Amino acid sequence: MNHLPENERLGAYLDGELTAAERAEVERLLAADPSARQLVEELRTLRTTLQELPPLSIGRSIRNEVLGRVEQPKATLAPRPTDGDATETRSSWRAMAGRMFQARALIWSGVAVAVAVLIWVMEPGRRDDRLAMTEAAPEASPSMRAYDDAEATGMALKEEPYLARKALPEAMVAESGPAAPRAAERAESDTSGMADMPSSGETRGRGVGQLAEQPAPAAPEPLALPARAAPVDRVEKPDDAKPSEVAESLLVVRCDVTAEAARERLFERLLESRQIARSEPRESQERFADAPAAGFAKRSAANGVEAEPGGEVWFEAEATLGDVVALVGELEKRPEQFSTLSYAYLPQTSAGSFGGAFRGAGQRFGAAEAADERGDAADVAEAEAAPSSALPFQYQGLPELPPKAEVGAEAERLSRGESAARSMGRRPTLLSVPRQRIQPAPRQDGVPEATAALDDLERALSEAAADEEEPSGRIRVRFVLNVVADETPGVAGSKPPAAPPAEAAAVEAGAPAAEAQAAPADGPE
Amino acid sequence: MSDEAQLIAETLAGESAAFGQLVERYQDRLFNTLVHVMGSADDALDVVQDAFVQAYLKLDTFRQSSTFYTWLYRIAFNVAASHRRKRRPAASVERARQATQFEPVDAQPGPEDEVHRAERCRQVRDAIAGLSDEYRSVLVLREIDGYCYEEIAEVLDLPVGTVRSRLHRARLQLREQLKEVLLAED
Repeated sequence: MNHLPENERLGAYLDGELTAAERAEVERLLAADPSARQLVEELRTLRTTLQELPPLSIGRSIRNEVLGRVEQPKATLAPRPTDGDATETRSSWRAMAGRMFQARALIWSGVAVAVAVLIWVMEPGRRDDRLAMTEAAPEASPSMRAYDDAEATGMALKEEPYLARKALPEAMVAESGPAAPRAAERAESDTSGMADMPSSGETRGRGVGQLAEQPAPAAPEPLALPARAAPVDRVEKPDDAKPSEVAESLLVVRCDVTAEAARERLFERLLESRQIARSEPRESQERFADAPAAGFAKRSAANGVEAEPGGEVWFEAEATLGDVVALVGELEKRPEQFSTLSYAYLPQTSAGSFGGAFRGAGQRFGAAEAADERGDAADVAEAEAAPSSALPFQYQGLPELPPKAEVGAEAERLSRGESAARSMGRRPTLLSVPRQRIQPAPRQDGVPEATAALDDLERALSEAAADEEEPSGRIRVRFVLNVVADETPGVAGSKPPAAPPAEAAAVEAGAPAAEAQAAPADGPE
Repeated sequence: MSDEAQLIAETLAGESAAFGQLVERYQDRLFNTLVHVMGSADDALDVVQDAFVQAYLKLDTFRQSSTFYTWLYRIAFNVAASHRRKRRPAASVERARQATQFEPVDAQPGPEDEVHRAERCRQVRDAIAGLSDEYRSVLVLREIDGYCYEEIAEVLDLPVGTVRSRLHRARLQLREQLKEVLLAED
């Protein structure tokens, strides 16, 4: 009787939450199995004990207090300040984060300037072109900003300057602006932010005072998806999200999506319906001067537009785990469109230095892939050969995935993390949940595997957060969507051939048929 | 129109006194739940007040497809989650002890019974407070509030299967922590 689903049914039996057939089955089990009977009895006693707890009451009416607050002007309905102890903890955390980010921003500013100077010196012909462009258009055009951004991030400019510029996604450029000013702004905000840091509710975006901005907590209703998501040429940055205030942990949620759903931007609409604001990908800054950067640029260019099978679409957001759980719940309701899920959580580290070594570990932009792009077969083989099982982390691997892009890259990154961790005399923890197939089973018949996996992850995250004294409920989340052919969702590792460009364009242009498919197959109850 | 719907309509028409009646109707029930969820009477009181304020501000979005109380619970649990994040990490056992300061004193039993009962309540509440947040919320909604799985799923915005799973795990953990208390019950 140690099998959990069986146990769960015993609990549900006590609660009167089984169907007649299930109930009869459990009763047969109880008749035959003394240990099951014992468990039911213990659970019954526990329930009685809990239900006998005397109810607690406030002992007075809070009517006037509540009405007094609601009758104030709305502007004054800010959340109450937290108590001294909590504030102190947060302040010290912020001060530490502030110092770290201030230093980081200065470093990046310096790096950006250095790279810009380097390119300036090494490319005299283009320097002249740029001078002409700058004079002609003092307001940076998107392409100019792409150029500037590329300089600041150093993404592959040494090897393929033009390619890298072209590859930089509009999505990143549209809201990012020239990089050096942005870095300066960040340095400034990080510095000044320490002095006038707003209260936690304001900065986290999920504080009490901002609940009014959340999706209406009203009764469930059919998912009101926006009619059609806006094209992904702009990344909306949450107003209240300051990069320096979101924990450096990263949760990677990887999912297969059918090409049709990808073209219909169903995932983005789900993000919007859950009011999960997408944020600017920060990978470009973090992976500066790293070999996989070229791979990143290529993938970024595909962000949101390359919905053909075999493509990959990804998004970043700063969200609470509750947001992610809710979003995954939405994915699970649509097994026709979203077929598998996997997660990797890269926890915040006390010293930001080796946290950086982990940041990319949940992605595919690893050494094996980069080596592959360089055509270096030996490096690919080496990266792939690194066995994940030999790693000292709580890492379960991604057993169903093809070896090249996944395991090899993961292993390589973990190896780097391992050495960094050793040098710091500390063992980090990488939490990972392997790829799970979304089952189109009725929800009442049990927990879908993917949800159960996320459930485990959520619990582990709670513990990790407590250990790390991470004051924020928000973490960076990267959603990576692998686009698969419509007729073969969930085929692990399959790389269906990309649709011919002409055909893809035709689908893109005339999407009325796809519109219907993108509608939620199974709305919330 | 039910009495509750009437109060809501009056509130929306600008009669805030009607909302006051809703506050008085539900404040203690909500408080009792939230004391167990938050592990602290002070925090619970904060959350109750904030939840009512938010409910008032968002009342025009309430579509009455669920009960007002369930809707209020959803708000309260969102507020509670926000509070918990701000307060983390505090010693949950201490919070539970703080919660027991609100233990009502029943004058009927003799002094020894009363001491024994208070001690048992403290142990049980300590054990509840020792559960992780996600387990505790589900358990409290089921055992303290008597919500069915569907309602819990609605309040916490979870699939029913997850509710069942978490509830069972919460019970198993609690059973382990309360072995002695439960043996005494038998």
